[in-house]
Amino acid sequence: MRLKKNVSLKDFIDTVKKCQHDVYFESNEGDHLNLKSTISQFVFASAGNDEEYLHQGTIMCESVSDYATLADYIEE
Amino acid sequence: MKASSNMDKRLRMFAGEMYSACQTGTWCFNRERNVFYSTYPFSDDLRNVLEVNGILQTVVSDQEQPPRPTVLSDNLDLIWIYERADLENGGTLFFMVGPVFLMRLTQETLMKKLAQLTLSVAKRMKFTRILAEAPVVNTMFIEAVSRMLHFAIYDEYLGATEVYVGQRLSDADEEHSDTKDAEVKTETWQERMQNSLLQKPDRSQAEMLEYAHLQELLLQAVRTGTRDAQDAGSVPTGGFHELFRQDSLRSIKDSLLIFQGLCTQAARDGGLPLEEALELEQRGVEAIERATDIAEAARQNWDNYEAFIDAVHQTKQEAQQGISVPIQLTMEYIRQSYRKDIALADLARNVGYTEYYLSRKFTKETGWRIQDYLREVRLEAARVQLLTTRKDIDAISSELRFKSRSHFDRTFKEKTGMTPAVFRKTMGQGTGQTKKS
Repeated sequence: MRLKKNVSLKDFIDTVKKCQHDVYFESNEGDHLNLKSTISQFVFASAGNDEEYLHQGTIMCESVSDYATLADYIEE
Repeated sequence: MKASSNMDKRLRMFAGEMYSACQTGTWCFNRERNVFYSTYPFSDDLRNVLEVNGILQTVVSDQEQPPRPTVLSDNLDLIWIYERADLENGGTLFFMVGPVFLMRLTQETLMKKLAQLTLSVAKRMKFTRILAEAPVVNTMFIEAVSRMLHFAIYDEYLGATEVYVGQRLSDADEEHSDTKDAEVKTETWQERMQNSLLQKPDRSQAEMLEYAHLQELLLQAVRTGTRDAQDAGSVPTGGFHELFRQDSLRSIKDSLLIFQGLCTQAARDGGLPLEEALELEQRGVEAIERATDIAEAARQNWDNYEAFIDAVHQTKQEAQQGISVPIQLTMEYIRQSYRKDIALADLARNVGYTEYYLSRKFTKETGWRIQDYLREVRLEAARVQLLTTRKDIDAISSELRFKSRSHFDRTFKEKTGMTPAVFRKTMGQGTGQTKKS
């Protein structure tokens, strides 16, 4: 799954915090971030202006149910 | 209360002085969260972080009357100092200083966590630099900067007690780390403390001996830097707070302060440098003294006790995480001396390395060649001077040791996308306008 365009990163991260299990972001550059970790959120958020980085990376949920939680922010 | 009429000039001077003194960034933005300018070198990266972690929203929501400087910490324990400027024309601006760290341990812990992430080389180097170059300051610095900021905006002197310390912006259940380490929850600790500390302190001789033994176990954990002493069974769970039972808050605080002193000595015995040990002790003492109830005093005592253990543990570690001390010293030397001609021989001599070894080690740990890092530091200083002074651009170029004005223009444009003149014209128009940065 990928991050939708034009979503609020803040709202996305706030929603990630509500997920039951870990949520990972993997970039095309090889970054692997657990978005529930504050240091990873720091790295992820800093790329806010880099559309290519954010939207070409992959979002993976440890639990399938969390994809529903993040439905407003991710897409195939 | 309205901002002084020459606030713009005063704030730009303030920003220049903050950067000059300690490489601390100053930010200016409006209620719509548009950043007009920032002297922080990594402002583009942190702008979005400030949005996501809620700092910007918290700041622009400030309605306090009268305005006063406020200290915030974010979920990485980065410290920010801000104040609202109410303008004569009815508009509002916000000025913020940061980020800084209050403890070197926090900085080192974050760098260690960063080192554990799976990141590309470029990202790792950038964020290592962001964390390594954020100044580590003390509470006196924060109070002083807060008063300076208020004076710069309102031309008014402020007492130390008029600085407001805001809440830490964090999640109560945070610390999902990439290594899945969970932090100790404090609610249960607080409940235990609240119930047990205000009991009669009378003890039998047998109890006194038992608690002396307990205290020695606790201090030994500091000497050895042994983490999770309670989990390892070497320290009786629940026994820690029993040591400090007294019949009043003041008496409890006194007991805790004595314990902090003992921890300082134990940490020194464990090899922690004197300066760090005293810094930790001072932090603990201040936190305990600030506590308004027993639970808070006990929590601060426990937090600082664990900080002592962590500090000694790190000291005992063999491998360097992130940037080694000699390279940090080299970077510091460059940041302090960039206005002068810097020879590689001087840098090498400063840390006791050969020139060849220092060059290789610097590049390996930072991703930068030394001359490229020096150029970056000079370009950052140029950016700050263009924003905060009216100095002639030729003079800036010469002062910062660029070969020529054309060389300065070309190099600056490569970094920012604008020549120095265009940058100054675009970004240095003053803060009373509403255009987005």
